[in-house]
Amino acid sequence: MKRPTLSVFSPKEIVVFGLFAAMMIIGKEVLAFLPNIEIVTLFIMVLTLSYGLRALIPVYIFVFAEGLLYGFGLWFWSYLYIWAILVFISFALRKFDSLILWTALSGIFGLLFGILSSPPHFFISGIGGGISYIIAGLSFDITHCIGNIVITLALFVPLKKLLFKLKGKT
Amino acid sequence: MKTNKKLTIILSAVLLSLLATFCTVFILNRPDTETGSKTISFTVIDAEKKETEFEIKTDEEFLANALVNEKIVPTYSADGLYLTFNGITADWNDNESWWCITEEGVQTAVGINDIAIEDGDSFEATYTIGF
Repeated sequence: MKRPTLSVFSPKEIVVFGLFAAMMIIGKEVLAFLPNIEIVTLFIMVLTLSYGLRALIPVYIFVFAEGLLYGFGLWFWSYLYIWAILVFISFALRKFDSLILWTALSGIFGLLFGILSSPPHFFISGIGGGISYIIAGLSFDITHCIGNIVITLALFVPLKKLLFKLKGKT
Repeated sequence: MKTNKKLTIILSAVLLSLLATFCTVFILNRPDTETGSKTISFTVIDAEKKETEFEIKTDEEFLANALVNEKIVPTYSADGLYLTFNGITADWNDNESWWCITEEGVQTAVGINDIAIEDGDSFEATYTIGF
């Protein structure tokens, strides 16, 4: 007979989610000197492949920790939905195994990051302010795209293998 | 796990076209490059009192560096002694000639190595014989 449990998460999941939330925070800090080069996109894609929509848990731990670290500014509002968008897209594509596909997705996400994070700026500063925000951030978006492509190409396969092993998947 | 070539190709094509579009928009919207944050005027007055005026845009802190960059003086001289301005040489040993450096007509207290420049400054180098 299965022992009843109050927890909706297994002990392993609690550890993995906490660990990856911490790694996303630390990874962002370590790479902070390289503008818009980040490892969060890769972690989120791989976490979603392994844990499905439960990947939203470490994502929002990361989002709120960032809010505590940097203050709840205008950027925080976009963080509340941007990473969730990546989780949902990754979840939709979870049956696909192509490294090129996931690399392209991470690149597209990096390129569109500025546009995706612009709605609060449109709300606060109007259409002109929002468009200015997007255009001013273009160079960062391009860097973000290239950084995501390189990181995904290099680390997607080994990280996915690791997480699948942790999850007990093949 | 599926490997969908069609979706991979579509996403890759979307990525490349978005990247090209973003790069194009970025290039079209970037601000013009600044050639120098300070604009100064430097006039060389030769032995015949002929004036040649140079408008210099520079970020340099001192006059000598700005003049070297514009090739008004051939090279930087650590001891502050400059014999040639705009290809014209004044050598005390030849005919007691020298370059009198002034700022808006007033002789400077220090040499061009130590003259700090600000936007809008105006200097002159006048070929002078004797005192």
